[in-house]
Formats: sequence, C-alpha cells, structure tokens
Amino acid sequence: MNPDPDIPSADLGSEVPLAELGQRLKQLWQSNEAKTKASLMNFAIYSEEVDSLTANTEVIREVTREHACRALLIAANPQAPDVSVRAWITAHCQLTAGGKKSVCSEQITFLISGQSANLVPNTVFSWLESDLPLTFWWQGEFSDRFEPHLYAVIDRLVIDSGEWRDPLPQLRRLEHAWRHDHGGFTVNDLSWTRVLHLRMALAAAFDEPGALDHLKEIEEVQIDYGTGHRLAAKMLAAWMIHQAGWILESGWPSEGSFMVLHHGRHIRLVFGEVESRRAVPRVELLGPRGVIGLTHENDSPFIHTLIGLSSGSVERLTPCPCDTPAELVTERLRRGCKTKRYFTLLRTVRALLGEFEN
Amino acid sequence: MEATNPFREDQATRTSPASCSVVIFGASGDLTSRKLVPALYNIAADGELPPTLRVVGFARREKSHDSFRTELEEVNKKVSRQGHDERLWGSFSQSIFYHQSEFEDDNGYTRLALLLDELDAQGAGGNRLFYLSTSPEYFPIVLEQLKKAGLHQAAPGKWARVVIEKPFGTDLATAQNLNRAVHDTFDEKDTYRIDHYLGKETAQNIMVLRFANAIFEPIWNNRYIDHVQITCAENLGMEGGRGGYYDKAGCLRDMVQNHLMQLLSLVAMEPPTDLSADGVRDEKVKVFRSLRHFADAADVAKNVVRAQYAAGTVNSRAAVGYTQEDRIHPESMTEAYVAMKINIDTWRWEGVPFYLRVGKQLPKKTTEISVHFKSPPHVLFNRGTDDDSANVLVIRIQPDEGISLRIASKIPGPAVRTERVKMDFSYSTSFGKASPEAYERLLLDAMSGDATLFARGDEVEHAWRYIDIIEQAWHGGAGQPPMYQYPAGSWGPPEADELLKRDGRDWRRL
Repeated sequence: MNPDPDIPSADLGSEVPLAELGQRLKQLWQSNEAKTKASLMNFAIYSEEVDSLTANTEVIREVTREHACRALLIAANPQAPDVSVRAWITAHCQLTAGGKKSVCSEQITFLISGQSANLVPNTVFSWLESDLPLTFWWQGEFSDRFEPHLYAVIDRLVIDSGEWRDPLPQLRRLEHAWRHDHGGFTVNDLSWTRVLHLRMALAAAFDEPGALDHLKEIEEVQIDYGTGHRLAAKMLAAWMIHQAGWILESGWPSEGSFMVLHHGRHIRLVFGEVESRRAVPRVELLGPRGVIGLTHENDSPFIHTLIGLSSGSVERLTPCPCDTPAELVTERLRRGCKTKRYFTLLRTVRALLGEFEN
Repeated sequence: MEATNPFREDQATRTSPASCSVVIFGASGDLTSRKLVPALYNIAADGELPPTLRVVGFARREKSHDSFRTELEEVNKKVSRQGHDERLWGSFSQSIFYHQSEFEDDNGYTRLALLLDELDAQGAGGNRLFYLSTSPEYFPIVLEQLKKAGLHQAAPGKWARVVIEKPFGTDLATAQNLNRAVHDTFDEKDTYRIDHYLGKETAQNIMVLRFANAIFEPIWNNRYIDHVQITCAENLGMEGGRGGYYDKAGCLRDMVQNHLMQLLSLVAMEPPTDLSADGVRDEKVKVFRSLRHFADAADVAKNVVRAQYAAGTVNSRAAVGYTQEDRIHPESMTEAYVAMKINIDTWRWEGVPFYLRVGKQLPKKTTEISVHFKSPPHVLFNRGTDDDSANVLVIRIQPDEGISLRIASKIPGPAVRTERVKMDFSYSTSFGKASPEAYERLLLDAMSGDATLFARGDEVEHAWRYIDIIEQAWHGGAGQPPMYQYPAGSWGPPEADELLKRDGRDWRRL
C-alpha cells in the first residue's frame, strides 16, 4: 500500500489489507485485555467527500462517549478511475463514569474508489455486527448509491437536510425511499434536531399564565435563521402551524413571508436570514398582549425566553447543549423519534419552500 | 374546560410533568439539599422541568429566601450529577423560596396558603405537591394542618398530591394509623409513598428483563429456579449521627420492610395486565399476601437470623462494634444485620425459597438479586463430580448496575472440562450516559401523576403484617431468638451461613 498524502492515516489508525481485516480486528482486542469492547449498535457514516475522514473520525469519537458501537466510516470517491477499497481500523476508548473501566468502540474506515454500484451496500453488509441495529448517517445529498439494497438494512437514517442546496427533490427522494421501504427505517434529520430545544422552550413558554390567551391573538411570528439553516426555520414554523392548528395560505404577500389562518384571523409569518452560528437565533410571537420571544445567542449554551405580556414579564433559560453535528447525533440517539410526524410536517415544509400541493 | 398548551402535546416520550408548587416540609434536612433540590436542578438541566415550577422549603429555622438558596447552591456544587452551571442555577434558584414555621403552627399554614396563591399567580398554575421529609412523628401533624388550612384540596381542574418519605410507620398499627391520617386528608390516588430503591434504573429494569424478553418468563418458576438471593450490603456503620434513628428502627424495619420487600415483589410478581400504577401494584400486593407467615417465635428463630457487628476491620479500616457506636445504647438489642428465608405460597414459587440478607459493616457496598437456576442432570459433562454448574442470573442494583448470567463453558483443550464463565451487561459500558438519580425519576413521576414506582397503602400494610411477626418474636417476651455477633468486615454470623447450608445451599460469594 502506498501512503497517500491526501489520506489522514494517523487519525484513522492502522491501514490493513481488506483480506486480513477480521483477523486484525481480533488482534486489536487481544493486544490489550484491560479494554472492554462494547457495542449497542452499528453506526455508519457515509460521505462522498474524501476529505471528511478526519472530521468524521472526530464525530465518531464524540458519539462513542455515550453510545458504544461498531463504527463504520465510509468515504466514497465515485469519480476515481479505478475501483479499489482501502481499510483502516482503530478504537475509541473512554473511561466509564467511575473511571474504573476503559470502554472501547471499534472504528473501521473504508475508502471506496471507483464506480461500482454494489460496493457500498456490500461493504456495509460484510461488517455489520449481527443482531445490532444499524444507524446510518448519509452525509450530503443523496446519490445513486442510496438505493433499496442499502436502505433495506438501515434501522435509523440520519440526514442533515440543511446541507442540501436544493432540498425539494432531496425530500421527495427521501419520502419515496421511506415509502418504498414501507417505513422500515426511521429518519433523524439534524435540521429537525437543531430546533428540538427551541420547541421545548416554546412549549414551556406557553405554560406561563396568559400565554395561551396570547396565542389566540398572535398577529405575527418572526423567525430568524442563521446562514445555511433556512430548512431548520421552516421545520420549526411547520411544527408551530401543525401544533397550533393554523392553516397555511397558498398566496403570500412578499418574499420571505407567509400568511396563516387561525379561526378566520390572519397571522403573518416572517422569515429572515441573519449572521449567526445558531440555526434559529430568534423567534418572536407578537400580538396585542405583548410578545413571547426566544433568543439563542452564539456564545450561550441556553435559549433565553422572554414572556413579555401585559400581565407581566418573565424570563427563562432552557439548556441547549446541541451545537456540533456530533452533539446533535448524540442527542438524537438518546431519544425516540416519530418519523410519521416528520413526514406529516414535510408537507408544510415543502409548502413553505414554495411547493404547494393541490 | 381549561385550554391545553398545543405545543406540549408533541414533547418527549413520557408524560410531561405539570407546572406546580413543590412544598418540602423539613427543608433544612440533608435530604432536601443533597437529594431533592439537586434532583430538581438536574431535571432542569435536562430541560424537563416545567419553567413555572416553584419550590417552597418549609422548616422551623429562621432564614431568608436568599440564604436558603445559597445553602442549597453550596451543596448542589458538590453533589449535582451533571455538575453546576452558575447561569442555570441563577435561573433555577429564583424558583426556590423559604417559608419559616413550626409544623404545628396554624398561622404558618395560613401564611403558606397565601404564599402559594401568590406563586400560582406568578405561573405555578395551582397544582401542589407536598413533600413530607420531616421526622416521621410530624407526618400526621403536617397532614392535619394541611387539611385545616384547606391546602389538601386543589382548585377545580388542578391537583394536590402528597409524597411521604420513609419510614411509613414502625409497625402495622402505626402504618394503619398513618394511612388513616393520609386518607383523611388526601385520596389514595394522590398519595405517593416513596421508596427510592424503586427509582433506581436496575430496579425498574427487573420488569423489563422479565416481561420484555421472551426467554426469561417461561423459566421464571419453580420448575427451573432453585432459589433466589437478595443481598443489600453496606460497608459503613453509624457514621454521621445515624445511630440515633437506626437504634430505634433496626435493619428489619429500615431496610427489609421497604426496599428488600419491594425488590422481592418485583422478582416474584405475576405479569401485570397493564403498566398502569394499579396494574403493577395489584400484582405486587398479591406477592405480599402470599408470603408464608412465621408461625411462632421458634419458627422465626429457625428462619430469621439477627445480628450485631463486633469490632473488626472493614477494608483496612478499623471499626468499633455496634454497641460502641455513637448514639447507640450500650445494651442495645437492635439488629444491624438480618438474614432470612422467605417462602411464597403461590403456584409459581412453591418450594423456591427467597433468601434475604442485609447488614452494616459488611466487606463491601453492594445490592443485588441473584436467581439461582436448578443444576442440569449430572449425567454428561459433570458426571461423578459435585461441580456447581447451575446457571445464575444476577441483577446488580448498585453499584456497577447491570446484569450477568453465569453459564458453563468448555475449557479449550482436548479434555472435556467445563468452567463457569460470566456473560455480563453493564449499564456504564453499554450506556455511556450516567443514569439519573432515583429521586429525579420519582419527582418527575409524582409531578406527572404516575404512581407506579410508589408504594400503595395496602402494599405497605401487607409488608408490615409480615414484618411485625418477626418483631414480636424478637421483642415480645419469652423464647426470644438470640442476637448473634459477627466481626465487622465479615459477611455476617455463621448462623446466617447455616440458614442456607441446611438446605444444601450457600450464599453467593460477592
């Protein structure tokens, strides 16, 4: 094997010939008996960006702190002229809470080059730990390699719709795959996870006295989103529309704003892109009684809620520990998910992206 | 009908706790600062605490809201499971208030009612959770005062609940009296008798293990199980001034009547019809009703061993004997160790003894349940040997929570020899995240109205009915069974070993 300057071999562990992979994995564990190998799931990350290997190795290291797994990191380079597969193995070890044990998860990295359609699913199939569920994180837009043989073995599909340049065809493709697989996999969209704590904070805000009366009279909802997080903002809005029983009208007054109908009353829904690292740094619900506002500043681990109503003013902090992709995935893996609800909301999200169904 | 918050409907997979005021009686005690408030803080850190929740500490000492908050903060910094964040504490602590009053003072409760009304207006919402963590003698007094002040009745559409810390009575008569006092004030459905063992993840996992895995339930009976052992060992004595309480209560009342009986009921119960609070508790009560009562003092002496520790060494630490401990009467006849054999008269458990042992100053701190299966026929691999190749399923409650299964395996090599090996599941290695503290789960459940992990009135009374027979044999006159001794740092008196030996069994080596 020739060293390739583009491959961050030091991060990936030992490169091993594919034919010896099983044997070398065994040796990895035999060499240190003080380590405990643990695995609750198969966790695969797939990317068609070869230079994602280092960042994704770091993601796996983070995720395995809480979710012991067999990790498969797959980078594909479909443009490469020759078909080849290279593999590396390493282990991520963490001390348990009491510091008594070193618990390790193994990572197998594959670099798959060339246009061979079956290589990705076959590589995944060969190295799954039997009986354990497969969480598969497809990074970037779907390609031809996202096909039925692959998603038939997936239990939980992680995607980040915020990465998609043109989300509508991607969402259609996702929904088609999900229906084709008869709902056999659940979908965790990181755009949706990014607004999880905002949804919790918003729900908590409406526990305050007077807040439900305010909800009945809301005139305008303003949602700011950080660069690249338009879809997260639309998902939050779709959720609000769905939960509050609002109806999205198909005509809207201007770019970036919409009208929703609630008991014959119109509510203006305004989106604005701002400079922020946060997906949704500000949400405000305004009405004659005042405002309920949520802000999530760049440097704060909390969502700040202001309930400023005529009856009084209250401020609250909601912890929001999810920021990096690894934190988002870790958070998502802790929770169950309701894929049907996600697809129900997508209808409204698509409308907010301009695709109204008749 | 009151409007519901439409954004709440979609949150989380469990019932979410309702906004309420939590009033803690006996708030200057350790339980409040070391367990209850850190539990609420950690629920807040998980984002699951209703932001409109208010906590009122009710106690006799004079202090301000701020000094109370500062005291709690100091302890929270040391004990909080998820660490201590200044900003989060700053926000959370604004919901904490202090109310000074004697427990018997009518005026104190009138003022409490005014304070709660004020907090309701600020958003607490009218729901009230009264947490009784005073000395047990004040339980009836606080209940009566709550009733007098009208605080036991919630406004329409709201609730008022009471959480009662252990001990729930000291015998059947006092438990019945306390149940009457509770029921004079609150409905049973609004009464939450806490047993923090039931809030532990592994205790909750017993039902999951039994009823969510198809392989265990078919063999969970006297056809396959030889016996069950439940051990709760502590490696400490009477440190921290616990002697005063302990010498009055004793190990049987302090540990067996509640914690160990609850664990036993989870192991022995039939599958409930559903997972509702009463569905589960009905089945637990059937277990308590099926416990074979001891006939007389001689029967108690035969099946229950009580003991005190003598001076010894626990893990290289010198330990004085029980009667030399601080606040222990030098001639005390209170047990610091109990080992006992329990029979359950049901079809499932006929002929399967449950052995319990619990004590202080034992070699290590551990709580576990071990289910010992019957040995395979000695006709093949273990022919002509007395190898103990029976399978043992161990449920570790604390520490190192997890489950292991002992199986026989062939030793590699040409000879056919078997060895006992262990298949092990550990919470800490499988689930990296630290388990929530038992009080977090129990407080969330009480705020959500889920009483499944709390003891029901009849459950407690049945457990006392069984325990009282032993207490009466020990303290009731002639023919009292002896009080045995064991050196601190050992696993108990030889008589406890004999209890199993005469049945051809041994305690599991821990």
